Amino acid sequence: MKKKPKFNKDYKTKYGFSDEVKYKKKFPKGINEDIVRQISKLKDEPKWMLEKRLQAYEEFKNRPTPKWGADLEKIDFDDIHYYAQAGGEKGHKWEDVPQKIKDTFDRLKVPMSERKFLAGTATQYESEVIYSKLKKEWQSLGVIFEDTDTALKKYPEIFKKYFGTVVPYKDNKLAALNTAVWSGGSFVYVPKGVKIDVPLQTYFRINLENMGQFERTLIIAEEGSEISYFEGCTAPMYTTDSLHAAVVEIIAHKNSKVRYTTIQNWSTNVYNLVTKRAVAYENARMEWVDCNLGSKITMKYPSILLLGKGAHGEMLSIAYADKGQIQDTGAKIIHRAPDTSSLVNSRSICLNGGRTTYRGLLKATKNAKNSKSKIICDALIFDNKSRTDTYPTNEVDQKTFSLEHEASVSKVSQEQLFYLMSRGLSEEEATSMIVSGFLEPVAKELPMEYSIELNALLEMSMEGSVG
Amino acid sequence: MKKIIIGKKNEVIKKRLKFSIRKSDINRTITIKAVLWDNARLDLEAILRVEKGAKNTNTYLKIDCLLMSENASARVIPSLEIMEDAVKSGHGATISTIDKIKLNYLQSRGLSIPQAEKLIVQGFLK
Repeated sequence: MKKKPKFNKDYKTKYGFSDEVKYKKKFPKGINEDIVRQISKLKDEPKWMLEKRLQAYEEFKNRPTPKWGADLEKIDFDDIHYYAQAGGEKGHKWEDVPQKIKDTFDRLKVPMSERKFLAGTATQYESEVIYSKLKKEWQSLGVIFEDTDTALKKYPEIFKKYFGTVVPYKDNKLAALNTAVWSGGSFVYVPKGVKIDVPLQTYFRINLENMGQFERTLIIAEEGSEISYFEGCTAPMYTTDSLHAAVVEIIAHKNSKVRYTTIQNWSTNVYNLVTKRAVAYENARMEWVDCNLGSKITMKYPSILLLGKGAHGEMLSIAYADKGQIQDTGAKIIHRAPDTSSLVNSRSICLNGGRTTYRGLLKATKNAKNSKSKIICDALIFDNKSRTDTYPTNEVDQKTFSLEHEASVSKVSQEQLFYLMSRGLSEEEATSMIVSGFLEPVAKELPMEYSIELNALLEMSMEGSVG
Repeated sequence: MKKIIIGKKNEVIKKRLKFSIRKSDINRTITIKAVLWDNARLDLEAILRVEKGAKNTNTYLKIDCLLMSENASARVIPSLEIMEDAVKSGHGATISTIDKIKLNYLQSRGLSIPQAEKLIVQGFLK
């Protein structure tokens, strides 16, 4: 008998419920050119956007499904709703949100804008952002925090300048799909020198069965600015699969600092295939904090391109794979300028037949003189039904580049348990403590509230099972 | 277990190594050291795989590369595939060049740069 930690033990009651909502618009299942045109028409978009969508759709059609990594062949792209909008208009007041949806978010305990520590919040339900609010003090400084659709209408110039520059639609099949049918997401613009010291937050929710959510997020941090962005996601449990294919683009200009935190807790019927990429210019600092707890299959490799002298990139991640889950995650960092540095710290846990994979790329080009990189990926494995793999590619073309890579795989050992139990802890407490300690380097980077939440998820539910 | 790879001139070294651990109670460190001069290029894929049923193993895969010239380059993929829980396994990889301070120190003791380099490489391979 060996005790195992268990995240999400009460997922079903806490997040896994669905609600009966009247849909204002729900497109039939499947994707074709007509659906793409309809989405664009519905959003009253400029012509260039429609053209881009159609180009991307062509690309999506012609590209094969990736064969490497987790098995994606089972996704039936014709069995997905590509757009759905629940009743009600998007509002800047929480009172305007339909009661049903409000109840949902209350049940999810999603932090409202009333929570003092946030600078702004947004919530996305199916395809549309239903609520977004930015505090006045930041608005007056010229900060923009809107859903992506509104931003396209209100700030067409900034939008056109940056949209698709970091993740072009030709990048991969799912980025092409996202570009073709994107809807919702956040648009954040921080003007020169503005430092937002409290995070902005968006919460994503899928409710329908066989739903596809394709949000598009664009964050632009001008010279010397600072921003921290936070996203969370959940969905009800269904027997059929849903698809979440987002694209996130971040541009960190000279001397800016951007942190993007994700707590992904989709139900175990969601394919989570996300393309996230950032570019960092001179002395900029870009950080990804990525926690993957839910979903059926996650394939996500947040990337950072270090393009300016002295830029720094960081990637901290936690992956947790329980029965039937595959977490294929990693980091991609490309050094293309001198004096750049990067750090990757990845922690993964697998149990009950779950599978975790670290798949990373670290590349240093000829220009990356006097640069440094450190990569750590550690895995904890609980039983022999589970599997953990590490595939890091390290590519260095510059002599003065220094690279260190270290990975370890271990289990919770009897000695560790025995030691802690001899100090009076029960086996549950001891296992929980070891797991907490294992995750600590990443968990401590989360905002306080979420760090507590993560710990609570952990300690509550140690379950006895045969190991 | 130790392996040394040396690349010179325009050599392109492509290697795919696979280490499977099938038996229980094995304690093994695999070390691969590579030194690349001139325009040499190394393309190395090394997989350490702990198969199902191989219990109580302690394995480590280590790859160190030394780039000796501006035009030398290395692509290293040290992979781990672990199908068993009762293991301790890890890998480490480094890619770097000769430390300037070490070189200066040896020069200050009267060694020429090639001599000093040779000595440092010897130490690295030991």
